[in-house]
Amino acid sequence: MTDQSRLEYLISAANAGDKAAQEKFFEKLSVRFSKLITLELRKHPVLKSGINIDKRSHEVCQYAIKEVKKLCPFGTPNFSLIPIMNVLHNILDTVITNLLADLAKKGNLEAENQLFSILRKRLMERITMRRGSDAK
Amino acid sequence: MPNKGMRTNEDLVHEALIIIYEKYKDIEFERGVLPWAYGVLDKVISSDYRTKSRRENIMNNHKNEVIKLHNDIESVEDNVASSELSNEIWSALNQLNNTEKEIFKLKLEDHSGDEIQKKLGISRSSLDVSVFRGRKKLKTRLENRGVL
Repeated sequence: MTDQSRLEYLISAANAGDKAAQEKFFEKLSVRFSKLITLELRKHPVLKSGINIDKRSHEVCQYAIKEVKKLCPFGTPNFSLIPIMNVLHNILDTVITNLLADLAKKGNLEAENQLFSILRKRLMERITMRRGSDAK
Repeated sequence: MPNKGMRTNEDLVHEALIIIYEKYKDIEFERGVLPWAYGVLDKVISSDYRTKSRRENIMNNHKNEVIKLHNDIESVEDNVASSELSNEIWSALNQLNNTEKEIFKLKLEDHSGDEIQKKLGISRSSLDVSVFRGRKKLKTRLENRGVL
């Protein structure tokens, strides 16, 4: 069984009210989140000088798990893999842009470049979602 | 392709990024830079809709003004045409002899044949002959001037 299908199995069991599956799910999710957060933070070399990535990854992971529990409760349609991963990615975007903004405010030009590159990408996604594509 | 004159998504994002760049260093973000940036973009989009709506209103008002102006010009042209025609008729009338001129002036004032006959002291046959000759002269004159 792959990691993905294992998570999906745990989700359906947790939704059915299996307490052990619920605990196991968050245990697995926490491991997966940690890996993803560390990978994403490492994609921005400029952050290495400013923060302790492992420590920050752990903090972000704890916060993300708390948010998932709040926004995607058991037994609701939100308690499935896609909404849960969306929560994580939104948190990651916020964390990374905040870290880059802090560094950019201190005069780090590389951080500023990376910040505006991310902002541009996210704003284009948002405007396309709201207004549709120009090519219509 | 985007409509002519309509700002593209790229233009609006560019405008939002300029605002963000100008302000982000002075702002203490409550919920983070990304939600704030989304807010800036939303305001830029709303402003674009308002500008577009205003532009359409101005165009509509302008269209009404153009139609009104066109009607006014047509009306002026009609007046000019009728005034030119009137000048031609008066000019043709002035070519008639005095009796014919008087008869046509009284006819234009809606006097009957009997009234004209009494006023001018002429016989009925003289009146009819003068009207016939006057009409013939007027017709020739107006045809030569291209009015008829």
